[in-house]
Amino acid sequence: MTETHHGKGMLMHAVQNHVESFNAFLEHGLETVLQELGTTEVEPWEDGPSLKIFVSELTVSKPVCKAKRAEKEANSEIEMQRAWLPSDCRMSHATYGGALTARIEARVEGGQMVGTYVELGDIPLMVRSKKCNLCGLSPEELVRAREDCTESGGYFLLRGLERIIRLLVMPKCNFPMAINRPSYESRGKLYTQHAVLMRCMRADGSTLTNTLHYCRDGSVTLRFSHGREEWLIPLIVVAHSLYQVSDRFLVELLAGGGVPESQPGDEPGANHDLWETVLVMLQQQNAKLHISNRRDARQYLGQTFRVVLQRDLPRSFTDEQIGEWMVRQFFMVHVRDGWMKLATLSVMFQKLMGLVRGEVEPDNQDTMSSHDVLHPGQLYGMLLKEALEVSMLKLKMIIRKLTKKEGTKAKYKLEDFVANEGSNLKKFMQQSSEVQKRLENFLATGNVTSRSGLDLMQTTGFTVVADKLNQARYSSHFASIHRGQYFAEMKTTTVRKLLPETWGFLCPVHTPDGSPCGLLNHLAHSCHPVVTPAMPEALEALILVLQQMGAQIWTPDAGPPPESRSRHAWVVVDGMPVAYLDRKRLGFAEQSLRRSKVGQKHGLPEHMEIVCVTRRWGKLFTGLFVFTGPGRLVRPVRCLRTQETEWIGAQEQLFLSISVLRSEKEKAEALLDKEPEDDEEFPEQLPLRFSHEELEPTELFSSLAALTPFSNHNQSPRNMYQCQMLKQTMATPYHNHDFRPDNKIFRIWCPQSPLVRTQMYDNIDCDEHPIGTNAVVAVITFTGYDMEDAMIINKHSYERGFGHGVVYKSKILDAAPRSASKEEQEGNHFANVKVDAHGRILEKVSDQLEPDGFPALGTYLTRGCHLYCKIDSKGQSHVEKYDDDEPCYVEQVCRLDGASIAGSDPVKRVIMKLRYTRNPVVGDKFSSRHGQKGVMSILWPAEDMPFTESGLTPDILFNPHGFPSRMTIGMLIESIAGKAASLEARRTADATTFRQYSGSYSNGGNEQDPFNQDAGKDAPKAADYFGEALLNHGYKRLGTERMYSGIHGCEIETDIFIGMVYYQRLRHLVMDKAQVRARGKTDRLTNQPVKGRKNRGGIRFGEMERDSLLAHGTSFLLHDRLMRSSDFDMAYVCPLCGSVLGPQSSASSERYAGEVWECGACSRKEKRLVKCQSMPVPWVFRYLAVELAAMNVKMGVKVSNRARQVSLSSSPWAGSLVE
Amino acid sequence: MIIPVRCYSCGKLIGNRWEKYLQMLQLKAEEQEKEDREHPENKSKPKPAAEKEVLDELGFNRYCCRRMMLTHVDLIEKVMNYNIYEKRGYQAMMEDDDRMED
Ligand SMILES: [Zn+2]
Repeated sequence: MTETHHGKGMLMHAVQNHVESFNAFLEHGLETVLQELGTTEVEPWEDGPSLKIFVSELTVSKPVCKAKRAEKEANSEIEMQRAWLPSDCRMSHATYGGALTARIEARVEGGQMVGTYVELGDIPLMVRSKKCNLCGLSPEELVRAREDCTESGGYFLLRGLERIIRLLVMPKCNFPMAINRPSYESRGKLYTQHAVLMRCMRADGSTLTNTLHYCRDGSVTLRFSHGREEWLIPLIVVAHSLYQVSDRFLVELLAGGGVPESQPGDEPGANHDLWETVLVMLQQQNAKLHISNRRDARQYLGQTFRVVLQRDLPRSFTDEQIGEWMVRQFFMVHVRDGWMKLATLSVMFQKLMGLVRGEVEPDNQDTMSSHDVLHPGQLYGMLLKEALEVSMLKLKMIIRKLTKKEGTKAKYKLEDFVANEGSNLKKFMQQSSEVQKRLENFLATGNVTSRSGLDLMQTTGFTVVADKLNQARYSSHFASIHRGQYFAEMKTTTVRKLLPETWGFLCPVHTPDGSPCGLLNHLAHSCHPVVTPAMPEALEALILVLQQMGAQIWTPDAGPPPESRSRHAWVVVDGMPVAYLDRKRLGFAEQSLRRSKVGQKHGLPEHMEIVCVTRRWGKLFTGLFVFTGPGRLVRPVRCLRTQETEWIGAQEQLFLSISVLRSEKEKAEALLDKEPEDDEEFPEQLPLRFSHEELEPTELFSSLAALTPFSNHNQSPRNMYQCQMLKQTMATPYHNHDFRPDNKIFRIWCPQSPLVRTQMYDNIDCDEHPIGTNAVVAVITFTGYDMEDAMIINKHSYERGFGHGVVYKSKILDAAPRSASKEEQEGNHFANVKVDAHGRILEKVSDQLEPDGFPALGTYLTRGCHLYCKIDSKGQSHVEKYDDDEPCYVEQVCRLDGASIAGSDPVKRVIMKLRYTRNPVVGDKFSSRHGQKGVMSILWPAEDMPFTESGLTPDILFNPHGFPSRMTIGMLIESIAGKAASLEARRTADATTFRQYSGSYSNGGNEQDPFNQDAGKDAPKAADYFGEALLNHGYKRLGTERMYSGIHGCEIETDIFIGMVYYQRLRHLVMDKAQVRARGKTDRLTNQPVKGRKNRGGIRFGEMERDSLLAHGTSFLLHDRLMRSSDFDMAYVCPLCGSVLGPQSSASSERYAGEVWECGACSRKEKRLVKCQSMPVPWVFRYLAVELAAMNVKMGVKVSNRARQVSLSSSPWAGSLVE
Repeated sequence: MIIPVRCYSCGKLIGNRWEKYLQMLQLKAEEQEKEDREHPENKSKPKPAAEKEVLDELGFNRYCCRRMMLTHVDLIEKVMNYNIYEKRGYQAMMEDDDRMED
């Protein structure tokens, strides 16, 4: 869409949202941050003018190579600067960032203005954004920059890791939302459950929520939060503080109309009731506190909040100034003008009163229509702004500290900071800058550390690592949109529900099963968030258009609307009620606005959302709501009047009628146009007059879900499973393997392009990174190895390369650990030579390694082979051995020495990439594209495989029992279609969901018009369409063939269903999972076997397993598993006190031969030797005794009366151990 | 990556025909272009896929062998753009790049 992108591939589409969002931040966000950033005022300790500092300019530069920059300073004759590329960052585990430079201006009141440029540090930059060095490169240039040819960015590189800011659902901004929340009643005696809240968005994308609460006494309070604390102010005080109005005017405004006279034809709830409510509220307020004008109200606010706002404001502010500041910062922040703020407040109030009276239904908080999206650039801008604010505050503190008098003289005077062109200012600003630290910390951890909370519901989990297992998984990170962490812990499932409103915005298929189900969604493929801020020009244009339509533009001079509220409706643009309109003209106004929007006339933005709510939609707050701001999701549909593409928003969609199929529209129109007959039956669904049409019936899918072939023929959960499994497929992650040191990367050797594919496959160029293999699959029960979802793979197919793959693992090797001393850091290096005291080379340390200390490329490593050799600062050599059961090959050794670039330097840091062969073994997981996963149970020799008349042995035998319960008919059709495509030698068989077929596949079919609506009832079904092509080639129409048993050589009686199915190999490989242990490491505390595969640990034999053994009565096995094979131990127990801790060995005792255990305490008490008895116990039993002893609880073991043997010790297997 | 030597399912030798297959396809495309130029009126008529004729000529009759040729993705072309098999000093190599660009 934009010129900055030339690349192709699956990623392009989803990533674009992120890149454009960040570009919008660079283009507009930086500027608006500047505007919202206030002036910092540093006051002197004594009387005098104060120092005012503000930021007047912010620029971000492209990343440059740091190493070169340092070198430039050293030898100043050559000016060498090379662009710092993302691949450099990956290879050196660095952070990809560009310098943020600010122009700081300062002046002491009455003095000269001084300005200076300060570098505030490097801020992380999004790859392929406008400030990235890869911006605008062609695929060829990308390859030269060591990137994959489809690299499309969208992520930040932090210490070599690719992290992305995930899209997050937020409440819809600039829209008054009516809610009934019972929990509000617990706020106080007076509170009711009714409230109207509005999340107001400032120009820079940050937001603040204002909530109006309705109280039992009829009054209303406004709630906002500041510094994580909530504050409540009476509505009348707020209203007065916003704009200078008379009491009468205010009443008229809030009541939404002029003189309260009831007229015939008024709808119930006309404004005369409201009038009274407001009047009562006003009188009550005046009785408590007389506030009659703006100055009073602001003074009152300032007086009350002075203490709270101490930190934010200079002390010199008067009460009125504080009040003014509060109005700007806290009330209806989406607009600056006081009049508009008041107008917004009155609209909110009217909606609240409507809610209280039951005229307005509460808005559903969980639907798409009351949601917005928090996009990366927006969040980044908010954080940058706060980081700047914190830095300025820190600067203020530093200056205050430096100018404080110690003794008689202060170190600095305020004037010093504006002297010398602000060099001092520059110095201390650099010192106090927190921008780099804060932004890097945010991106690396995903945690927001903020004083204000930024109006967000959560503080963690904003960023995730984009895992590059394959392109599908990677791209789905970008398309994902999370509902918020808060909802994940919620017990109810209402938030997870799939509502019809999400049609076309969120994919109904692509959501994970399990705990994040319904909370982690994915955008439909053509839906994207608006990222550009609302433009003032657009608002002006809109007002002009509104005026032409007969709307009254609302100004303070015009006064409140003359008619009663029941006859006019608000026109609210981005939360600002700019005009009002006769209700009867609402429909007309909407239509003409829409016409101008679609036709791109009068300068209206194309992503504008027009929501026209009239009374015919039921109990809703009527009005014309227009949104132009960022954060809304929009999607394209076809406007039937103009036949042009129109972008609609989620709330807008509620009030439009959009047909999915053309046939649906035509049928409805025919019904509507027909003269009604008397004896006619009513249609099941009443026909609608459609105004819009879907561009394609597949608009509702995400790009991943749209890749499933024939998904309309499958049982729906199978399509969801496929989306999950596609994301687990071992595939082709990228092509630039040499320049990416990812920890673990999977790759398959011979991927193929699927024969049966959907249109989406070509649209997003999946062939750049193919993911599977076309396998010949026979559906047959054979050998018994294919029970329970297991499948048999032809051994010869395997030997010819079917499913072959590798895993690369990279690790960074340091000659000296980070914690080592400076001497070691400098002296340690990798090499394979012994050097004598004079530096002469004596001999090679290891003959398995090359002189540089590493094995040659391609070396086969098994356990015990030498991996590398390093020489420490004392000249000692250390050879490290390869310590892994699985053998591997050395794939790549790459030096990373940071700044030192001369080739002769000793090597101190390398990346070593090892290659593990992972060809299919028994137990590896495979799946078709229909949620049909299974493990390979055997590699069956080809000579024993069933074969067809032409001598073909299938690659995979699939058990027919997999079909009846799963109902994946799509897989059956795919099999037929794949076979037909191969026979026809056509690269593709179109399997797009909802596709209609006509004509014959052998003659090209209807590829030009895939959703052919005219085919009617005679149109062939998908299976027939491809089956006919099979017939043409002499095969059976249903895809079956005669087959012969490989073992007996005789013909199999039944026809076997055989065809071509695209198979994916999933990343769950046995080699990564196999866990075996006989004996080995045990836990130091409990003496039980350790857990974890990498520790060579065991698998937990847990409670449930114990229960089953108990139920079977297999006590010997139980004892063996839980005791003998775990933490068996012999303990001595004192027969008198029963302690297991007291007994100690008294081997030295001469009276007794051999070792004797006595209880010291009891021996002393009894004045004789108290002999202890041995007893087999689990080791943790001792541990328990110790823990209890630590809590002052004594634990005793009662031994049998004769004190000869503990009952357990009489068991035969322990007997030999007892004396 | 590279075309497998034999068909997975039936074992027919295919690796030696890949180049030939590509050449023949290229030839067919050129012929078709010429044909279209000379007889533009036939352009929209349905024609069998070029691959079909080529595969028939090469003697790949079974659908298993046909899919090997049809659906192979020659990733080696893309991977070759990067491949430099040697141990390397990464920073040192960038120097070379710079020199090359000069
Ligand atoms: Zn074959």
